[in-house]
Amino acid sequence: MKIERYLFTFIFFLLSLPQLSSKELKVLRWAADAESNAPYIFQDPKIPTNIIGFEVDIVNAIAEILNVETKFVQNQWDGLIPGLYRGDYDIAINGLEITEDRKKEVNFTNPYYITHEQLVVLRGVNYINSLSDLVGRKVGALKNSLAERILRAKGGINVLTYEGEVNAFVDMKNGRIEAVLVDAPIAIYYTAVNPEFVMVGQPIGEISYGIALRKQDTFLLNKLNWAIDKLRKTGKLREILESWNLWNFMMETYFDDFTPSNVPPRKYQYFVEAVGKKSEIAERINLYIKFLPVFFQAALITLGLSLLAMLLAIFVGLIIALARIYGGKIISSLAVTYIETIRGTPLLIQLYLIFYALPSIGIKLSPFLAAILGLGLNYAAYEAEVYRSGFFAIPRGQMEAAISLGMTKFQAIWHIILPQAIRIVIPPVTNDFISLLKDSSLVSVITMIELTKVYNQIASTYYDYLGTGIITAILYLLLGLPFIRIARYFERRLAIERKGNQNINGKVV
Amino acid sequence: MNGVVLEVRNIYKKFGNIEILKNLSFSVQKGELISIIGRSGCGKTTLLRCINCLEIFDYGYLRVGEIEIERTNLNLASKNNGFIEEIIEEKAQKIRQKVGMLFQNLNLFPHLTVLENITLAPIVVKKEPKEKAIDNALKLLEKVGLKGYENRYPYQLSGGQSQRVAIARSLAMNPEIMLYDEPTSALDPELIGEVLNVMIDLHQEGMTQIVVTHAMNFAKSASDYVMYMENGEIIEIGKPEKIFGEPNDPRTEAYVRLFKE
Repeated sequence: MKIERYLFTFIFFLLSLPQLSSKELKVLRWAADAESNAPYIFQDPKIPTNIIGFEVDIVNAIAEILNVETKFVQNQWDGLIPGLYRGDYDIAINGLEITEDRKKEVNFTNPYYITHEQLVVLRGVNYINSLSDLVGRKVGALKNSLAERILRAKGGINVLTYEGEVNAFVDMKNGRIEAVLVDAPIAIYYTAVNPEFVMVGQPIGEISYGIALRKQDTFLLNKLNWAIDKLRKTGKLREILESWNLWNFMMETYFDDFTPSNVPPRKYQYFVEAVGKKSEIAERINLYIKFLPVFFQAALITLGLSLLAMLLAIFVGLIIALARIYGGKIISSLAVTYIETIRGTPLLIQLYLIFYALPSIGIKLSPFLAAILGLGLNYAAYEAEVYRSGFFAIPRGQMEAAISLGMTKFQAIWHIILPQAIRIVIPPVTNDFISLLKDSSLVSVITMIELTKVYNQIASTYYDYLGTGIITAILYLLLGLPFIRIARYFERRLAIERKGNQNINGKVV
Repeated sequence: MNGVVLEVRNIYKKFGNIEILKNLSFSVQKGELISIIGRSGCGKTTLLRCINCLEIFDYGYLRVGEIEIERTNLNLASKNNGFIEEIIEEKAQKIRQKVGMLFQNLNLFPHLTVLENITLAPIVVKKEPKEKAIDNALKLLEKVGLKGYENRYPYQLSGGQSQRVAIARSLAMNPEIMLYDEPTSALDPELIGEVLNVMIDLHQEGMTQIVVTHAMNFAKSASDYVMYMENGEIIEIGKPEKIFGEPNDPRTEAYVRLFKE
């Protein structure tokens, strides 16, 4: 996403406050996206509330050496580096390739893992074995990955890029592409549990993963490098990688350690066992039942978040609507500006600005508050317009009757106009709430773990998007249903009153 | 002040470039019922709205009871002067409290019961205690012949009943003057009488009332004076028998003749 990149650059520009880096490190706060699939960081297939992965093991090993506690912070993969500068965590580790571009923004430790790109095709496809075989074919790769750059550099290949590897594999299964080029760990784990895919050809390219941290944290950088080196010397890092079946010839060269492997890949086997076997329907349902509490918890967060955001939207929206209708020239045009600006810009960008840019002027909100504020202020603009139409639906005579009874304008609005307008706008506002409920899934970009995020995490652990997707959809539906009923109820009541009014109005103009 | 409760002097009102009221002057004694007649667009509704300060006139003098609003050339020139506007608005609001107004369209507050419609303004504007306001409202409902209707909603009323509640609503503010802008023109013919009868009762009780109306029989039989307006001017004010019998001005005569056939 190009626009996000520009935005981030802009945010870095804003971030000029020096961070407190010299203080004694007691807790190593580390960030990753638990949706990033095996074997990096993912949910334990047997205990969904646990986060596991070879990078988790590496962080824990480093923490042990540095004698510090660890604290995991969930963040969207795209937001990992900007989040560093928000100060919510100190390091980001999540298959982040050490590139020149990224080095301009952050410091990287020495690599903790070196690997290559790997071709994957459907089992039985025997005409693809190298990059050259891909010319003239459609090939999938992850967006902004080394694989994409390699494919484009080769020329003549029709490259399709994807946000997540599972999408690429599914597309290959459906015949839209003929091969996928991904980082080797992904290929190893995906093919292990999806036997319809196989790895083919020689290793392609070289990719080094490093831990990213803020530029100014040089002290921490040295400490981490020292720890990684120690892990190398003690053989601990090799042990971790072997247990995940990730030790490779590139690591042998990098570590200058060519002894035969001696640690069984038990974590790899654990994963393959848990995810790989094609489970019976009954087993699958058992699995889903095991997930349900996690889903329910996430649904509650979604609901709570949406309700609070809607409350804010209803309140702020009302003020904006009143300002627009009764505010006089200057206030009214301010209200219009707010409405048009908010409605004219993507919610996603607004969330990014609130979460990543506000800290640079000293306003650092928790993800929950930022999410409520972002959604609430966004919907306030829409609610303001809904109110406005509600106000206009009330005959002018109502205001005049109130004024001529000696009420002030404010009293008239409060006692006469507002109560009637609110009844008119309840159905549309309720509808908006239902769409807010769904839009709330966007806040996962600012580290909130809500329903859609949990769905993605669980789905990506099991490569099961259908069953978990249906559960998620049902939960959204259940969350929204009561409100749909409320809207219906008020619509009906209003219709009765309206009908009544027509009767008495008779021939009234 | 000789019992003059309303005084209008040299009032002008423009909407854009169109002069709606041109140099109107008249006064009303306490307890009088004045009917204003004239063709549509002659300015009679605007005159009522100016008396009730729903519109503020551009130039002239208005007195209701002891409250005066005066707009001279001086403050006309400074019409955008917020300070003067503020003072005028303050006075206008006081006048509105002393003047009850009934509109052509039925505009009871649909979300409130009959009782709440009547008690809202006394409670909110005059800060009357709720019990007292309710007490008073029930008496007023009885007066307009709607005893027992207090818990109904406006959509459960006929047009005539609605207008009678609206009158009670205005009376609850204890106004010095009642204004009516074609109070029966929205009603079915059989419902007109019940509203006019309330006005006649009020007249007997000594309420000062000004009625813009097309109901000529009512104007002829019930009013103390009839005012004929044309093109934003008062053509003639006189006793009903004079206006409907032998008016001074040929324009008045031409108009009232329309209703004789």
